[in-house]
Amino acid sequence: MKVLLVDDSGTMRAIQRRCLNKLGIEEIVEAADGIQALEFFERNSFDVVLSDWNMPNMDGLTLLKEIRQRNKQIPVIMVTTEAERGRVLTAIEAGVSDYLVKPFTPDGLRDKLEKWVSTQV
Amino acid sequence: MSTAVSESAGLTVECVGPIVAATELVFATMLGCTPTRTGLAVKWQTTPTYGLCAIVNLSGHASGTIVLGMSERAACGVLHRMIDEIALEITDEVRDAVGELAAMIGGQTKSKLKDLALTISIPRITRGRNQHIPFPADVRPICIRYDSEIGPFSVDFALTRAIQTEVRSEP
Repeated sequence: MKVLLVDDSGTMRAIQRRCLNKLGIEEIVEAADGIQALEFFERNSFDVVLSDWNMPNMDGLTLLKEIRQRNKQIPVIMVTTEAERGRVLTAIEAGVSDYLVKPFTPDGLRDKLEKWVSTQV
Repeated sequence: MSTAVSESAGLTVECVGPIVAATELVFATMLGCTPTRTGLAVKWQTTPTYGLCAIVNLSGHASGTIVLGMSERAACGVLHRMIDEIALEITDEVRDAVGELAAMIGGQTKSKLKDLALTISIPRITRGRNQHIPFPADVRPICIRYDSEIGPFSVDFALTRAIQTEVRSEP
């Protein structure tokens, strides 16, 4: 199981990384924006992508669309402050697999990650 | 007070409820804190209430600024509560953690003000009490002060309606 974790906040990456570690996932590649993430995505094979929406250089929605041009199947979970229905629908139209709004509780994050990690094992 | 200024002040006042709800939700969910409001006042200066600030700009049918300000002790407490790391001074990690909290407060606030179709900027972190916060010029900001388990903090904000150009047809 290999996860691509994309967020411009090191704090948010640390929270998600620790949650993934607790689920037994150790192979995690971290990126701070969409451009870096896309570079990693093209050079590696991942099982799940977790991505923030609002990031410098390339945002998460653009990253999602780029990933979907290359891979229609891989689960992409948006972990974001964008909570409005319209934004969620935009992400769904672009092919997002699941959506988690910040702020989230540790249990909320674990449940969301567990669902996708377990289906990919 | 002109009508335009009065309307803008009204919009900032309308935001008090959504910002209070957003702040209390973010602090409770991400930090396990129960912040207590200790004051609410109109600000007469554009200088920050605390030395460390995370600034989020809002744009859309309205534009404005939300500033999460806190003491060094409270900021270090944010990092500790979020990822269990201890910092004794303001580090890049502390700045990042406080910025992420401000982004969440901005995100939750805009989700409660759907009619304004707001977008939020990536948070910008500043230090120092003698700086000018770029609030909208036509409205006084409001400062909500809190106390919490990690120390005192404040949320300063102002929002003004975006100027809309009216197109009139010739008679």
